[in-house]
Amino acid sequence: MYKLSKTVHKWASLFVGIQLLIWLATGLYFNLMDHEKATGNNNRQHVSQIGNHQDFVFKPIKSLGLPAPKALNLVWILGEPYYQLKYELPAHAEALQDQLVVHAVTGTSFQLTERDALKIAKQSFTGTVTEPIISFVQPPIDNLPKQKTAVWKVQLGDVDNTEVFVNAYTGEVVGHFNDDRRLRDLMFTLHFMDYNNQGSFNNWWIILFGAATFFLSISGLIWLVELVKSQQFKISFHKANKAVQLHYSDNSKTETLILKSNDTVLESLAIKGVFIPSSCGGGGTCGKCKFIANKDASIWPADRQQLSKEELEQGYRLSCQHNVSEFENITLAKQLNAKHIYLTLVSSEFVTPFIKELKFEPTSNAVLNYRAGAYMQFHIPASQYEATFDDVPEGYQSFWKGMASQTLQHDKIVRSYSIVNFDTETHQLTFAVRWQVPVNKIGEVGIGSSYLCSLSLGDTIEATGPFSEFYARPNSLNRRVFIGAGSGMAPLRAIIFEQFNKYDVSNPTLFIFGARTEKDLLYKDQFKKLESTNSSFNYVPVLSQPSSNWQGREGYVQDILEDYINQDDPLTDIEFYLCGPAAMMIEVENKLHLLGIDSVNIFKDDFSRNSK
Amino acid sequence: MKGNVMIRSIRKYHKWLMAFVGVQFLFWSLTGLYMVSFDIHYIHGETLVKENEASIALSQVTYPISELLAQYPEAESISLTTLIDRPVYLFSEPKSKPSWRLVDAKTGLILPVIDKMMAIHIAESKYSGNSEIKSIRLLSKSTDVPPELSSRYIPVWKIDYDQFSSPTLYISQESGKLVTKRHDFWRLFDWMWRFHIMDYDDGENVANWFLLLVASLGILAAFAGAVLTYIRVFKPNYNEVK
Ligand SMILES: Cc1cc2nc3c(=O)[nH]c(=O)nc-3n(C[C@H](O)[C@H](O)[C@H](O)COP(=O)(O)OP(=O)(O)OC[C@H]3O[C@@H](n4cnc5c(N)ncnc54)[C@H](O)[C@@H]3O)c2cc1C
Ligand code: FES
Repeated sequence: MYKLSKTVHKWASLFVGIQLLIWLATGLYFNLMDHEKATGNNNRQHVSQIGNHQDFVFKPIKSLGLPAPKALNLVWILGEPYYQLKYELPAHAEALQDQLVVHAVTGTSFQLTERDALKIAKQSFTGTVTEPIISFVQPPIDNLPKQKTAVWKVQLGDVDNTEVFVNAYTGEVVGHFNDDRRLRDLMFTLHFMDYNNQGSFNNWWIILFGAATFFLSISGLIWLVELVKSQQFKISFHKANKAVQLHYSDNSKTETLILKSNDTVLESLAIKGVFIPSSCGGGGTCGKCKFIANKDASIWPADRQQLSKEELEQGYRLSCQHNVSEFENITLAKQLNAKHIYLTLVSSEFVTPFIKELKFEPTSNAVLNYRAGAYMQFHIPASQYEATFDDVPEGYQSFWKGMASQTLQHDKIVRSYSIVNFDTETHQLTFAVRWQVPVNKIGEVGIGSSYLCSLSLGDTIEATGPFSEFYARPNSLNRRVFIGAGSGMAPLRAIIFEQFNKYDVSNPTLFIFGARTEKDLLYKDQFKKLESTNSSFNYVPVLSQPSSNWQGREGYVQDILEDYINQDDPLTDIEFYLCGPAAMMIEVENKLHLLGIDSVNIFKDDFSRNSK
Repeated sequence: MKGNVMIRSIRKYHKWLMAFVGVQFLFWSLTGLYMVSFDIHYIHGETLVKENEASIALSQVTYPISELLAQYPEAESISLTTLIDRPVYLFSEPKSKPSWRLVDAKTGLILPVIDKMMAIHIAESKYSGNSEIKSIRLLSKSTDVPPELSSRYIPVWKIDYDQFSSPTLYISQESGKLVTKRHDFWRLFDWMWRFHIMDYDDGENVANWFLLLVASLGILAAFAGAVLTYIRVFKPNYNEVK
């Protein structure tokens, strides 16, 4: 309901758009206009045309020799009497068409002359007439859309550009139109969407737009109600500060922080240098920013969407959705040593057709300690630039055929990338970024990956981290199986090398890496070397589209999995580490479940979380 | 970053302004939709009365207009019409009371004011439905007049029909004319109008300060909304924060 109302609100507002503003503006005009003036009648006066009936010998109606009318009126025009015979009685006088007007004495049929029309028009006007222009107008008449009979139109040439319309058969003054009146009529046309000039508001356009406006209002109100329910309508006249206890559940440390009550937990902690991961920038769509509040903290729609039932019951909430004012105590799962740092690019090279290896040097002397498998959040600034693909090496150019350079424009975004190395391997931070290119080369390239892959050596970028959510289970003697594909290589490589080169483990370890062709086998040589020097490690590359010379395994990782698991000892003693394209991860996980592996032994690094 | 701060404050304005005036947008759209969806001629009860009026029986008009004028020299707005099925002259004498008079066009005799039976007779000859008359009442004091009727029409016969839209015909006691008619669709329309222009007492005054206030805030809120829609639809790369 909440999501639907947001969608409806967006599209209805796009549809109704300008017309809604027109309605409001013209409505305001009606509210403010001078109602007297807007009638166009401020220089109009009524002049009696009645003559002295004793001067005339009226011809009896019976002897006119005309067909019997439905009604007959005695009308006076410039002091002369006429019979108006009406053969129809429409509900609105201006719609009358079928009529005869004859002189009441002679019985001759009558039509108003130009001279008389001018006379009547002038009589009805109290302003100064200069050089009147007169014309005979047949319906349809612009100003009088409902008038069905011909009229004389007299332009009086006064300062207000008054036009007087005189009925050509009855001498009646039908209306005065001046600039004020024309403005009002224009406003009515706009308000009534009477763009066909029917002189009415009964048209399909306005019904359609009215209905859309109804949906716009209803969806907006539902949204409002949701916002009120989620307490985003607290009136705050000042930005009060508040003392909050910050706990970590992995140690018993507690600190007291003075935070801004009306900021979100995410924002206010970041100001204090405590960074909670977030990939969607606080939009409530990545679910990474969770923290432990208390069990009865309010639950907003985004909490429900991103967190599991168990998590909600344990008191987990999204820190981007809740204001500090709600809490006295905030608990983070573990003490993070994430920092806000600046990184300078020192190397940028294609290592597969679409993956670039980027090496950064932290600008400050910050010492970063992290478990391998951690990632950094890059703050990609708002930018506009031309993404060209001209540094693709010869050997890979065939993969990029058909890709034209394109202009990218975007606001500030946050993107996460896993660190390829482990902390004591180098003080630099290495990343393997897959340039997100549309499969058929038509359409937009990914904005985060393009920004990073387009950086020049020496460029600096802001980043927060490292964040550790994916790492090897400490002190384990279990057999380990790493399964990856594509840029999912990054955290797996970090962990494998950390385990063997930093901790000298001897756990039997298998790395199954899926790729398309030989050229996509990232870091092949490094793994071959590790395999040859360490008897506990096995490297199994598997290609889906190998060349004819390929000697190794062929297919997809999930298809060859069982060959390496079946013959094994108790399944509970194997740990699985997965990272790669979403589709691969799902299939591998399903396969593992089929093979009887328990979820607690499957560790996943899901790259697609921020693109949900 | 700058862009983000701007969007955030626009969103805040939109949210807060709409919290105050949003409900009126719903009223505007609902009442507007009602008013434009029903044919205004239907609303005005034009289907309540028969369309076909008979022609005047000219052969019976033996009392000529010249004699009428000789007898009633002050007569104005003279017309010849049919009352039930006899031809009559109808005219006004602004200076005397009653101001409208009916004179038999055959005999020249002045007709008495419309009595109850006559009023029923006239109503039945005009009414297009086939339901029964529920009640009939003469309104002659301005204190009797319901808000839906202008007091310039009194004295007038109010004839209510027993039908689901509660049609009422108003027949002038002096002229025998159907001066106006009402049914619930029209009465509801008047209420819709009141809500639309936010004048909740008599619905006559578009120039009320309440409408001014809400419409002005509404324009600001809608403008802010327009900017947000533009950004959401045409600049999807703006990083949305709540
Ligand atoms: C914890 C974590 C670690 C990550 N580590 C790495 C890493 O080491 N190397 C790396 O290259 N990426 C990594 N990612 C993914 C990375 O953060 C971005 O999602 C990815 O680079 C696309 O961002 P973009 O701005 O270029 O594309 P966008 O402009 O966001 O999207 C462009 C197109 O790419 C698609 N797309 C978006 N994300 C992905 C994805 N992950 N896989 C496939 N298609 C996608 C979109 O649907 C869209 O069609 C990681 C993500 C997370 C959450
Ligand atoms: S930052 Fe809270 S859900 Fe993404």
